[in-house]
Amino acid sequence: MNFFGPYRRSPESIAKFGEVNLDWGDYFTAQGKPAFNSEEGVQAVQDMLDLMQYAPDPLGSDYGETLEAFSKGMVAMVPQWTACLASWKESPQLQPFEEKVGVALMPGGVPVSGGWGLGINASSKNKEWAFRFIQYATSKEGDTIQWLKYRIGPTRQSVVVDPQVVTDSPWLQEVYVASLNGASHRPRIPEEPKLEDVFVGVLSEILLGQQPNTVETLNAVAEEWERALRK
Amino acid sequence: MKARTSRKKITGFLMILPLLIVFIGLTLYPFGYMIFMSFFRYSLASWEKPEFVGIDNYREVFRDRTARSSVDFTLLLLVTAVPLEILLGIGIAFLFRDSLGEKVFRSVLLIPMMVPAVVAGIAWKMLYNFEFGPINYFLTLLGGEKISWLGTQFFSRLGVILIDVWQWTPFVFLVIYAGLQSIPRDVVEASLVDGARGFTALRYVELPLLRPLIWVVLIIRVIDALKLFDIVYMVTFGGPGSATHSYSFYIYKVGVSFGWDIGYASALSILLLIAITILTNLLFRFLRFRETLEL
Repeated sequence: MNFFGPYRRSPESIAKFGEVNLDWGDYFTAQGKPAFNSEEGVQAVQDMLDLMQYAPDPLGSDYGETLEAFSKGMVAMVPQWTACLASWKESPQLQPFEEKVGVALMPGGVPVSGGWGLGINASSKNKEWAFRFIQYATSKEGDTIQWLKYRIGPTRQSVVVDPQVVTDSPWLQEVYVASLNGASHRPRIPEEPKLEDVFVGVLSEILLGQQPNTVETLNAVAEEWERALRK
Repeated sequence: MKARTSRKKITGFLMILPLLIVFIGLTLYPFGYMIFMSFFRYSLASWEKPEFVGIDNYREVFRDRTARSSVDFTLLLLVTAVPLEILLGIGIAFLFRDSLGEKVFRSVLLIPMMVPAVVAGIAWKMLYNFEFGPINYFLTLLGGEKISWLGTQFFSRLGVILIDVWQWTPFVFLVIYAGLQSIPRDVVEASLVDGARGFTALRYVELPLLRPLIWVVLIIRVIDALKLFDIVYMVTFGGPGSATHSYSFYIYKVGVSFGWDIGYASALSILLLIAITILTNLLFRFLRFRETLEL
């Protein structure tokens, strides 16, 4: 979930920071400088602070525990990828599933895109077979099976409008298209994991009340980001 | 005669050669390579070749707030968990010596040490679970509030310390208990004849005899505490934020999990090695280890 996205993509922010660059993502200006150390960034963190009261254990829950909280019916909403729908369908607390569980566009309309990568190793002995597998896995047929059986989000628009898929999941098309239109992307740079780690550390301290939610606090993160990028 | 001696030497050398090769390949070479890499900027996440940066990686450690936080937590662990383990281990060893059901207690007490850290980590994570964890369940039964064991700095740090104490107190107990069995009975009996009673015999006769073992245990636990990784990885993954990053866990994050930054991770590792060497040497001197062990 990208809390900063809706602010970053507002007309005012576009004028201030420039268009979102696909390589740098929402957290940077068009020129590759941190953009979150601003009033808009403070507001995005404030949104997180405001939402904390609705989570059972916001900073103590890991990915698996958020899935569990939803499957036990303890929380009303959870930002998630699509694959967990397959396991939730079996949860006794979520029955009847079709009546109790729905999927909607992420609040703010700016979900984070995620995907799988398929590649062939240069030293592979069966490059031809590997290529054929990739062809099949990414074909309309493969994509349809992945969605219908395992709820892995489709990568082809043709699958989304396929009559079999529409009958199975009538909500998919609307949410899918809206999500794609608003999708934000993580920075496509090697330093991304490091930047994320730095931000998570300070963000947790703000959410724990150990640091104030101010531009100055975010400036310190931005400085660390710039240092990591200079390395 | 000379020829036989040199043949003997060659035979001896050939016999230890396999071990030497393994030692050089698995210990000396990686260690030397780590020192070498600590002067380079080298990230496996990028395609760039290693670039010599001098002591920049070492300078970066002092600017890095997560590194500072991991040092804080590791020192906290050192000054809280280790003394607790030593005191509890000694106390339990004295308590259960010659007691009813001694053998049963001894076996039960060793369980935490025998449980693999991964299993212990998963079990403790379930115990600490905010909604479903037994600890919070009993707390609410007793009229208390649920505690966010893994969601606040204080409790997540306390949680890791408690696990470390739970896991390693049995080790201290085992060593001290074995030491107690080896104290000559006649020495203790002589002290009793001389009028020493209860705590006096313990304080002036048994504890001094156990001192070499206590020092050994202390040094082992100090080194282990400085290297703590598994429990942090399994239970908190360093969180919330960087509250429970142990220094070793941070090295792992930099070098593997989030950074692939081999140069910086190497510099962090070298500093850890230096810290362990200095600390153990200080302990050796402070505790007059050599005199105690009559080395």
